[in-house]
Amino acid sequence: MATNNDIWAVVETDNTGKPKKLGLELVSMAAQVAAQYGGQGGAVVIGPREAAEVVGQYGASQVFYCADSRCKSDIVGPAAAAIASLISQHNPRLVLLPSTPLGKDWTGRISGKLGLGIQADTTELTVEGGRATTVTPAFNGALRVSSQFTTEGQQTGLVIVRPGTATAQRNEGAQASLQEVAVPGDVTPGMTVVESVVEKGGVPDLAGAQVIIAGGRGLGSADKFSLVRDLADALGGAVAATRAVVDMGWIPYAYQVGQTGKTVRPKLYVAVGISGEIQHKVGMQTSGTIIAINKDPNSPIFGFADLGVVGDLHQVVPPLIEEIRRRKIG
Amino acid sequence: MNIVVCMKSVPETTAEKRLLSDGTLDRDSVPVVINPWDEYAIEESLRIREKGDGSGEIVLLCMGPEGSTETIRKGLAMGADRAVLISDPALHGSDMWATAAVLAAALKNMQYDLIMFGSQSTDAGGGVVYNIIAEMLGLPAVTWINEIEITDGKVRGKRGSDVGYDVVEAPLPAIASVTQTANEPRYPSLPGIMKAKKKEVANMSLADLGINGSQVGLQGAKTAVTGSERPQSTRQKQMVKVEDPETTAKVIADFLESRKLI
Ligand SMILES: Cc1cc2nc3c(=O)[nH]c(=O)nc-3n(C[C@H](O)[C@H](O)[C@H](O)COP(=O)(O)OP(=O)(O)OC[C@H]3O[C@@H](n4cnc5c(N)ncnc54)[C@H](O)[C@@H]3O)c2cc1C
Ligand SMILES: Nc1ncnc2c1ncn2[C@@H]1O[C@H](COP(=O)(O)O)[C@@H](O)[C@H]1O
Repeated sequence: MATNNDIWAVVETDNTGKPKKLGLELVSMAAQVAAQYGGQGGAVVIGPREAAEVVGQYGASQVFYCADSRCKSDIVGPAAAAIASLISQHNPRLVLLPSTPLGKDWTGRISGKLGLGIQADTTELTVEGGRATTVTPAFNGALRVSSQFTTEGQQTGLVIVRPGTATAQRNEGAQASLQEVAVPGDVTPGMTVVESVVEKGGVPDLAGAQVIIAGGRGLGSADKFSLVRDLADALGGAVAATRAVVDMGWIPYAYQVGQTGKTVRPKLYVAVGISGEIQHKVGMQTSGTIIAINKDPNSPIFGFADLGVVGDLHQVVPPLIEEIRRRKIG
Repeated sequence: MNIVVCMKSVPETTAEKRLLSDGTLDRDSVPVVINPWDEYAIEESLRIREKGDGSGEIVLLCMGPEGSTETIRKGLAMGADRAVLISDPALHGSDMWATAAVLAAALKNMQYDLIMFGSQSTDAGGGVVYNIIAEMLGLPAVTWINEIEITDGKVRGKRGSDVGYDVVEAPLPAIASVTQTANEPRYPSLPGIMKAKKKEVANMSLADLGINGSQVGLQGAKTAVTGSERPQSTRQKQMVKVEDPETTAKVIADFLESRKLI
């Protein structure tokens, strides 16, 4: 079955029912890509009608939403079945999905159901001569690999997109048509959430953060992590850490950046007391600006920092926090 | 309880990567290791058996070139019982969907209560293979979990959420993909390494699995690599040495302002 020229975005909602930021980025991106094909942007929202209304302001002409409560107990199976069923009814050319654990779970299930190809971890998408080319960092970021769907136009292509690839663009006057959809009959059960635990202080959205201040073993002790938090407060950023710090129990695994942690791409990454070993580097090397503070001038981190500050972090960070606060007020 | 652990052989992170003239990675020039995420899956599978009644088999399943045998031996030395390696020239260039189709075909002929995976691979991994397989085999899957437990015929674990974590579960038989856990993958002991040399590594081809080569590999792939390049580093690499911290603080703040970051 040939596809049409429409491009869709799949949108996750948070626990208050609001669309997630990455989803809105994808909605705007879908509309832009669709325009290049002469098609229309669409969206599938797993969440309530209110979320679909918001999504309609970001460039989608048609918004499908699935508000079925079954998508909350089993977060994967019912939603993936609903999205797959919409794809097989409407045959969009490409579907953009969020590069999050849940987005990937859905993508895999949809591909398995419908036999569709996947481009994962996309950081760029261009259209030329009626074909989409996606770019993905591979081999720990040592290479940038471009690929295409061999089946483009014949079957829907699933593109998993990283945060920050596109900008969410709101147009309040936009009129989208909203349509509620049901969970179809053929659901393969995914996983059941038996308990949702809220952690004090919350969890950082590292993948989507614009500014990240990361602390390493060089901080010296767990209580000195407050330096990192205060600097993050001053710069309006999120806090992250190396594995060394996670292993010592100074901070939970959710904050770990690197090969076996999260991959991040903020506009600013400040590495405080971090050596910059390759396993850490691969999780943050595509950040916009990198600033490193380390007392060892031979530390590997200085090999890929825009600004390298050689010195004792305990001496530099407190006046830096003061200086930034002063300039923000002034 | 029988567990299959799917493990991938990947280029070592620290190794220098060279490109072939066609732009693909020169895989022969780089040392390979078990995908670090899969080492956690192997460790957890051994712990599940140790915590239980100690019975049941742990089998490693790998699709990859024949050179993967060396990496597989390391997993066997950690304590897995035997391994299945699917190697076939026709698999060159397989994409995620094709990889999943091949692994799913192999799994159909295996005994399992639980199939374990790493949550992503470090080479070109997208973290999607296990969900495609789950759908193909009609199995539930708990993914991106740690603190994995088996109780009352269910697999359970903690999965990070926006506000903390979810406790998620699925009835066996099921798929589980793990993240880095507090349990460091064990180093193979010397006796473990000796024993591993005698453990079975069964080689399977596509014909053994009843798969037609045109459905997988470059021919059957639904995606194709069209080019690759090394990212150009445009880092400024400006260095400042701290003499007077107050002055350095100003230098950093000026730098942030010059890049419109404050
Ligand atoms: C399979 C595998 C997976 C891994 N995955 C990850 C991962 O996901 N993420 C990750 O981060 N790591 C990972 N690692 C670990 C990685 O190799 C490094 O060990 C780790 O990143 C080091 O953390 P660090 O920089 O905090 O500590 P260190 O390497 O100990 O560096 C501390 C730095 O602080 C500096 N310092 C000390 N005191 C001061 C001071 N007073 N002022 C200024 N600077 C100071 C030192 O000069 C040093 O450079 C992994 C390793 C393996 C084998
Ligand atoms: N060729 C392969 N052979 C065996 N297992 C694999 C293979 N490719 C991927 N896997 C498994 O699937 C997980 C996710 O891989 P990926 O989807 O490539 O990120 C890995 O951690 C492995 O457990």
